[in-house]
Amino acid sequence: MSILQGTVSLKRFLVLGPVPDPKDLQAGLAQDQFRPFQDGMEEERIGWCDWRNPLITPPDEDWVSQERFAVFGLRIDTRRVPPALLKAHVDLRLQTLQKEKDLAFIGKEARISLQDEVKLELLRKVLPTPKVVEVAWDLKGGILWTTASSSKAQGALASIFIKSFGCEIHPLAPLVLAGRLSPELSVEGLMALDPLDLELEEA
Amino acid sequence: MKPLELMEQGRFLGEEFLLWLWMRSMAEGGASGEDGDGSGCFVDDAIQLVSERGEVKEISLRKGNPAESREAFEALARGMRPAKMKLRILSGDLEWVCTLNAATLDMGTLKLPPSTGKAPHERLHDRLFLLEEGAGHLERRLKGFLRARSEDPDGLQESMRAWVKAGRSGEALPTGEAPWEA
Repeated sequence: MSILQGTVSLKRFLVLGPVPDPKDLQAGLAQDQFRPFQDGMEEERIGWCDWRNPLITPPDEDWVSQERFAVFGLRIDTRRVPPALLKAHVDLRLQTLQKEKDLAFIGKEARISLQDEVKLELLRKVLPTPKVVEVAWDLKGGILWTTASSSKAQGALASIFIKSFGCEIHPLAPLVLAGRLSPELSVEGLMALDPLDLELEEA
Repeated sequence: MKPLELMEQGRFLGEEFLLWLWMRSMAEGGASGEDGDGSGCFVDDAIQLVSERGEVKEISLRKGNPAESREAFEALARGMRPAKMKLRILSGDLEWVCTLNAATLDMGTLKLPPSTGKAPHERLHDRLFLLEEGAGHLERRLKGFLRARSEDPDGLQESMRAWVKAGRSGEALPTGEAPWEA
């Protein structure tokens, strides 16, 4: 799903906090740009990328600024070793080890250590699965449009947003939107309304 | 208050807004009620109704014309509420279709009017403009609903109850065809 084409599911957030100037915005994007996996046991990597292509990191300054919007992507890469495959490799290694060392039994700590070793080797061979969430930040209106649909992606976006720009994002749910559209109506007053009763007696 | 708590507290307002849109799509030709605004907002072919009470907690009405169905009004008369509703917004030659979520007011599976831009940045500007236009149509209606809801809650409740009653008996059907059926 993309803001650029086709059908798209969108979520809006209210951005709270001072809007960074273009220089600080770009600095935040560069600071937390997407960086590929290194060796290690990490299974997830998150960072900013260009909205045109997820391989362009950090986002290109000339393409981030789109009139009053700042547009960029949040790339979330995951790499996983399928549990069944991991178990199969570990079992084979254990059998080989037992044969080589003539051991009847391998202790728990040794097993765990071996499993980590095998997992590390397999993780190096796994291609990461990338997911890109698009972000269009209306810097004047203080609204963030995003294609982040899952609570996991929204959580990742909220965390990295505050880290990069010092701004919190809050979902633009009915009460929040009501407060923005009709500031003359108090949110407390709306919350205190009794829900409409539309239940009718049986016909 | 935490964001999730605020969302839960406001859920009933989102549900009632969807009901209001639904009622106006049948009774007022989908008009927003604002002077000079010729746009129309209509319920399309999918409604999800929910209830915390009763034996049936969720009903999904799809295809055909669920907004005018007896099943829908009977569910409303039992106290069920719309959790999601597929909407069609028309303004001049432009058309937006989306599934509006009552709890969050997110626009799911949003289909925008066609973009005329060729280069990526032209397409982006077009699409952002169309996104804001579509959201604007919903927001104008939300303002109208909030005004009615806060100024005359009893009046609104009465008119909605009358609409549900008429819908259950089949009297609430609009006289004309929906624009997209023409």
